[in-house]
Amino acid sequence: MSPTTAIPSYREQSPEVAARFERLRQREVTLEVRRLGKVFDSSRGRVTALEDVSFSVHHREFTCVIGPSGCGKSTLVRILAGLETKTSGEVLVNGESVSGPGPDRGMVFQGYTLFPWLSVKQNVMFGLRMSRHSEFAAEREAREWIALVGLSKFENAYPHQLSGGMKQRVAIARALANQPRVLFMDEPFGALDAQTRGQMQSYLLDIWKNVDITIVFITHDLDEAVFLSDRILVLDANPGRFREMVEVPVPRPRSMEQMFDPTFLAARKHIESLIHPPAKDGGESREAPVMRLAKPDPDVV
Amino acid sequence: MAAPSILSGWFRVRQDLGHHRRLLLTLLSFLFPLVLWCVVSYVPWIWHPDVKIEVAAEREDVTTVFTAGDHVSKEYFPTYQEAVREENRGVLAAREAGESEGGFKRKNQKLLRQLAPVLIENGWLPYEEAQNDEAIYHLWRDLAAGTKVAESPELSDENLEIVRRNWEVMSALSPDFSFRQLPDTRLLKLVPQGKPANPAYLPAPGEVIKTGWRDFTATPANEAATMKERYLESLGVIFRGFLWACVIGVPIGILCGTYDVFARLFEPFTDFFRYMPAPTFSTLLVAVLAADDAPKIALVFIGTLPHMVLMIAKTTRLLDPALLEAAQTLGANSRQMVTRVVIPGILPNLYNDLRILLGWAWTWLVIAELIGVKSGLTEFIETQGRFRNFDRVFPIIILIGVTGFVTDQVLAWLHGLLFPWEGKSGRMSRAVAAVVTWPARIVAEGARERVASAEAEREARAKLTKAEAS
Repeated sequence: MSPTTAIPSYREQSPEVAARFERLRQREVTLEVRRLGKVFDSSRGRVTALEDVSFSVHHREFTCVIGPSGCGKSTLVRILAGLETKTSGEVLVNGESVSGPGPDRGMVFQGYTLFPWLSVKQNVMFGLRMSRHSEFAAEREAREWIALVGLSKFENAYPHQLSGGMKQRVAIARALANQPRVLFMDEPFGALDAQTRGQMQSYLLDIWKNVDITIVFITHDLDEAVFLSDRILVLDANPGRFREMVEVPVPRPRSMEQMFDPTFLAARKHIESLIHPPAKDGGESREAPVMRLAKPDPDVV
Repeated sequence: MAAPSILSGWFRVRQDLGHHRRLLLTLLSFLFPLVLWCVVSYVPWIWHPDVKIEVAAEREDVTTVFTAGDHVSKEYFPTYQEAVREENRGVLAAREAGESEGGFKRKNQKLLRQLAPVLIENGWLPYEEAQNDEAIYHLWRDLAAGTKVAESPELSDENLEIVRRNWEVMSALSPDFSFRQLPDTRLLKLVPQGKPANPAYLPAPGEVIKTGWRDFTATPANEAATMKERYLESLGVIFRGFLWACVIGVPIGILCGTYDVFARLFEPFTDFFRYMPAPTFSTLLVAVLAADDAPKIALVFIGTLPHMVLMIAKTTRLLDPALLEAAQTLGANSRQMVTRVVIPGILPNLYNDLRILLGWAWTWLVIAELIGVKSGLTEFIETQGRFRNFDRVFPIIILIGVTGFVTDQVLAWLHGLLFPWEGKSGRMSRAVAAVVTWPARIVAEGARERVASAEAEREARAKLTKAEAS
């Protein structure tokens, strides 16, 4: 119980962090979402997935979207990417209203979605070829993006020959090759093991540092959200509603060691309390029901 | 005691066996039916309810005529033999009594030919010369003199005796065949000879191979088609029918799987149409397209098309929709989604669908060849089946089976060659792919280098002009 007392408020920002947020706020708004709503009409009736969600993301900001399951975070990002239609509201990219998918908004999916019949290089070239780049120019650019994600050795491999983490790096390179304004990532590391996920998070921050890209990242992993983001959009469930936009007080550049910083823990604790509000009856009962087969052991507690 | 390792591990739920065991079982799965067939055919005390006639005899006043190769029941055969012996006793009795009833030249000529099947089987007389009386006459002489001894089939002692006796009579008149010089009185008939056999519908493997070889190599008389021509004709019909079905069916199937509008437009009727058996259209097709190959090709086409459309539509729908979404976020328009994602994405499965459909097309082929003017391999099966020459039918059935199987195996192997990204290709097909695509890769490499150098040069020049300008 003693560490909790040592944790400062998540609102306390060091002067450098506060100054950085001030500068970020001065930047142009890359993505703006106004009163977005989504209603699914199913045979069992109308289900409101999203209601009145508004927020904005500044240029080159890293924003995570987090919330309890069923809060519609995937629906939100699919609408933003244009894969789902919205029922109400407006989505603006660089001030222009968008609907439907377009190369200005890239997307990285949880399930990799690499084209299995194309080699790594051809996968990365896909978007470039769509926009009528010449084969040669596309190939040259693709090589650079592949080098950026560190897969030059594998440029001629087929996706089935790659590990999960490598596949997701190719997917990131493929999305970035189109040079979109915003990159949406829908739980991209959800299917990876913990170790690979940690590596991929560092990789992603490195890439973000080097590339002019604004990232909106969906996750259900608190540590991932706090580690990666500048700000975290917390959604409520049933229906999905805007809860809070949390500014992460952890200074940059980030590293894994910061996971135990007071600022990190503060942000994490606050978001956890938003997602899993403490039980109202004053602490849930921890006693397991006494079963006939229960066998207590003083060393096993 | 632990079971020896060779016996353990054959029955494990949902576990693959080792490579060697799999190979062994594959061989066994072919060997087992073959061995069963051989056992039933060659072990005389198993089954064998018939006698296959090797030497046949015509009887006086009996209209039922058996020829060599015919089957009679085991029970009836002794009666048949006895009847002929009885006739011979009559001939001998008449000869002893000095009666010389004449006018048997024609019958005696036929009687000489009784020996022909034995002569052919022993390899002394070509198959086509079963009525070459000169040759047969000399072979009677050789057998009587003992300079030739029949081995397979053998002549029974009884029949050998008859051959000698007859030759005595014949040689007294003429050393060579001449119709005029044939004895005018009755000769002795060879007593029917036979061996235990299974019913005609199950010829022994040896017979099948032998007749099959003969049929495949023979040039039939009166300008009938050779087996090779029939085979090519059948292949032509199935190939053209299937090709037309592909030309129409593959695009429609892909459209149905891609666009709901086409699915609703085509699929309900196709679904209905496939329940109308294709052969029911045969007379209609013959009426519309007249005889020749056209109605046959059309039947294969009609039989294959509906299944093809529905199967390919389903395959297309199985494509992971996330790939289409990914393509959309990468800026693909709807045409590019079809040409760059749907088509390459379904190709491996589409290919497998076509393999299955090609197997079905063979079924339609057999029916197709029976409509209008019968043709191809099926016509041969039909005709020979009617004469109960099943030993000539089996080779054709096996030929069709082997053709289908080999085609499918080759296509399956090509799958690995054509679609290396599936990760199922073996080392062999990868090596072949590498060799086959080598020239193309060299050319592409060269072109890429040329383009690269041209591009680099252009950039350098642009930089230079910029520098000059500044």
